[in-house]
Amino acid sequence: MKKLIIIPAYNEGENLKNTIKNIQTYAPSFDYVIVNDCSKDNTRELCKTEKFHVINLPVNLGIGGAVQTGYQYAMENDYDLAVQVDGDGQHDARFLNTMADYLLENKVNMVIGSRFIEKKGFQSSGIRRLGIRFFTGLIRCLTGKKITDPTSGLRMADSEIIKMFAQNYPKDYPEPETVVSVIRKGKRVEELPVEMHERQGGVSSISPKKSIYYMIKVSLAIIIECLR
Amino acid sequence: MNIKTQIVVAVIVILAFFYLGAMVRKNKIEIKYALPWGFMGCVILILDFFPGIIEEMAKISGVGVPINFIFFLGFCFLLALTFTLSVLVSDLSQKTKTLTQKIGILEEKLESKEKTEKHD
Repeated sequence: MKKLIIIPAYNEGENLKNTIKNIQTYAPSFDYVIVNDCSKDNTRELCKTEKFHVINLPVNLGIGGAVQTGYQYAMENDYDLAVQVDGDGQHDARFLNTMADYLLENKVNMVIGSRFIEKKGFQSSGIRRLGIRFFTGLIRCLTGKKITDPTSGLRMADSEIIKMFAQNYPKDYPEPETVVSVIRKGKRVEELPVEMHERQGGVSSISPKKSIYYMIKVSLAIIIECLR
Repeated sequence: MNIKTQIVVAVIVILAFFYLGAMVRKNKIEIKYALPWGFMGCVILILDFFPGIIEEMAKISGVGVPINFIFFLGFCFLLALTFTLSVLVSDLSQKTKTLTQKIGILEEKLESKEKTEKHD
């Protein structure tokens, strides 16, 4: 059983050390690969000196392109499952084994780590939760499936989904959209409760100014995904 | 249309044609993408030489002032052109994405191969 952790990283620098340490302590049975999305900081050098396993992208692609690179790597190297873990310390590797066991035992195609089932850990700001709840409602209306945390970046995929994502993955703000496309393909998606931390550094890709664009773009993407 | 306007328009279009030709010669623009612009220049020239066409078309479509019909045509043409460009940009960005990913994965493969060879 080959398991891969995909860590998209853009200007995460020192955070990566903690992320890797966290993985090696709590999920030693997983391989990992950092996808360095052409960071402007010392990420590249840091990975070299620390001997981290890394894919360096020569051009900045944005989160979607970086994560997709990870799935392409997983497909080429015949991984049975791949999980996405953010490089900024928001996700905890402690949950990975539970997620993997659940995925294998229940023959689920994709498992999402949700902050909002047990409502433990960092819950994001009120306004963001409102946005997330809106997507939950929208996805429920369109697919009939309740996804409490559609924006969660902590997602585990089996080989079928790996193949699907390797071929087709949105460039920006990919999470809610891809959940819908997976559900629409008739694959099984389930959520497990996890705790997330507040990011330990860096800035969110969604600034207040971009949040309106984010809401509109993602809503449209979800609706279009349903028309495909 | 005034004969003065006709001459001014003709001179501008012909200058633009020279510029377009020079750009093509220097490989700054591909012929494929220069063609629509050349086509637009031709249409403007024809309409400039025979203003009767525009007056007739304006009358048929119910546009009061003939010059407005020219603006309308120009607007439609530019819309079509910019939209085609948006499609093209999307295509290009898809392609660069794929290339970038391929290069990244290849580089990783190369490095891990070198590493294992060093161990041996």
